[in-house]
Amino acid sequence: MTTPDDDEQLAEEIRRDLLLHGVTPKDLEPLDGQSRRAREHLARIVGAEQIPSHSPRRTRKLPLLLAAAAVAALIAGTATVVGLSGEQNAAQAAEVPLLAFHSAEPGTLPAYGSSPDDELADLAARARSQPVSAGAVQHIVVDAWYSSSGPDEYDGDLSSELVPVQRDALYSPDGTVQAVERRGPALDKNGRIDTQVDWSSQPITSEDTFPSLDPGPGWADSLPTTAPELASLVESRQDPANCEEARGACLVQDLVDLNTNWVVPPAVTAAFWEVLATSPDISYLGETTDRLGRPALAFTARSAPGSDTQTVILVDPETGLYSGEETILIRRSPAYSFDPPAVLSYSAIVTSERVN
Amino acid sequence: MDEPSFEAFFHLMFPRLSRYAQRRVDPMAAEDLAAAALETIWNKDVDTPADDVAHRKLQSLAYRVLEGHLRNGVRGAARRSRVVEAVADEVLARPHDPDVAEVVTTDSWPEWAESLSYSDRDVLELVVDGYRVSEIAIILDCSPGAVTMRLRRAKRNARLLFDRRVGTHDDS
Repeated sequence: MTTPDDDEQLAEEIRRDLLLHGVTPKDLEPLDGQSRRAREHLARIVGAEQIPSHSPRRTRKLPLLLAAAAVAALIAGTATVVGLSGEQNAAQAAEVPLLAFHSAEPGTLPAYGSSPDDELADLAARARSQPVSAGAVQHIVVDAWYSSSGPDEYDGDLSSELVPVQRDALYSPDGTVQAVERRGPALDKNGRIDTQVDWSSQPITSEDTFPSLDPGPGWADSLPTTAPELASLVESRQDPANCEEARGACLVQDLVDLNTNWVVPPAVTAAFWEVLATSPDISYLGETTDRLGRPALAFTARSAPGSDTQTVILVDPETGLYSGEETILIRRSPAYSFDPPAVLSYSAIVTSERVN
Repeated sequence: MDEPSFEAFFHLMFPRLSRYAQRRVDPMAAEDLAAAALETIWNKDVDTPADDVAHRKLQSLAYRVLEGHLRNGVRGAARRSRVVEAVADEVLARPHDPDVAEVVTTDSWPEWAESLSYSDRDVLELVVDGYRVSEIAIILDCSPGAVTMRLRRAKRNARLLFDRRVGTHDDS
């Protein structure tokens, strides 16, 4: 066991070592007059009318609180959509119903269902039998909602809302991602997307070419197809400070991130199910129907201590392939105006294929 | 939070947040971002911290809010930059890293550390910039023990990279 003095000594040793090896510290001296400017900032902040906060609590949602990696991929779109106030009425839902799961009572999230071992083993076997997609370019289409907050048009208060989007991305071997994001149509009363909608006629909210995603276009193809090797590699990239008490939640997040951004070989998906089966904090919630009306099996991971969200992943029961996720607010948070349990974000893989 | 408590919190955190932001942006922009982060805290109308633990959590929240402002600012600048580059058809010609908000933190690192992960660089850079473990724990919103664990891992990875790129085997 180390003491605080040991910790600081280690830090000092590392600092000395890095300075010797060419790393240079930054000049962090404050500019003259910082105290005066601080007083001016403070006077402006407390002198302005404070944005009201009352029940139900309404607060600005911070981009850094976007919990799902899938949603993180849409951060640029978030900024765009938030900026389009006054045009949002038809395309948004304030709150949508939770999915119903066979093994969990409706509206009871956080739910921890039954042991997932049998289902994950079956899904792994199904995934391994799927054909491997060929082609140099990875084509991924994702239907999603993400939560966004901004001042209410009428009373100036801040409110959270769910914004439906579809993101169509082509990931080229040279490492560039071309992505077109469109604002989705209104959701139906069950929170489902109209599958007949012509997405090409929906307004484009962003169209951009992005640099390569870390660690490059070949990442998914390079992953091991055996559970022990895959677990070792994935966990070596995780932040131990965040994942040591939430192994399952971190694995789920890695899975979502992987499938949202890369075309994942079926054998890797199969190995991932086998890795999840080794994590004691993964549970099976049962059968459900996803937001596109497709049958799915649902799994979840126990959240990290103190976390206010829980992620549910959805898997196609026929192919054993990943089909989407939902992030659920499970306890009241100052970052959202929603009452828990409430859907914060959702993504469904519409297309994940390789093309030329 | 009541106004006197917020004012005390502001005076404590403004210089700290400015210093943190100054690692990535110029000093005046750093102060503006620090003020913006604290304004966000004020508008969130959080409870006045009742004890040291709650006060520490609030400090961590301020750093997280600031980090969000920093990243958004850097990404926004990069997006604008990419538009200009696209006109010159340069976007596809040059290598990119995953998140420009992370890239800017690497400017002061030598070539041997180029492939060090962002997570490792992040914690090592805080040490190089003179932060103590107890302060880093607040910034990263984790325990000092977790910081030490990250430091040990980052040190090991940095050492491996240095040995591989520079070819030395100094075990000191």
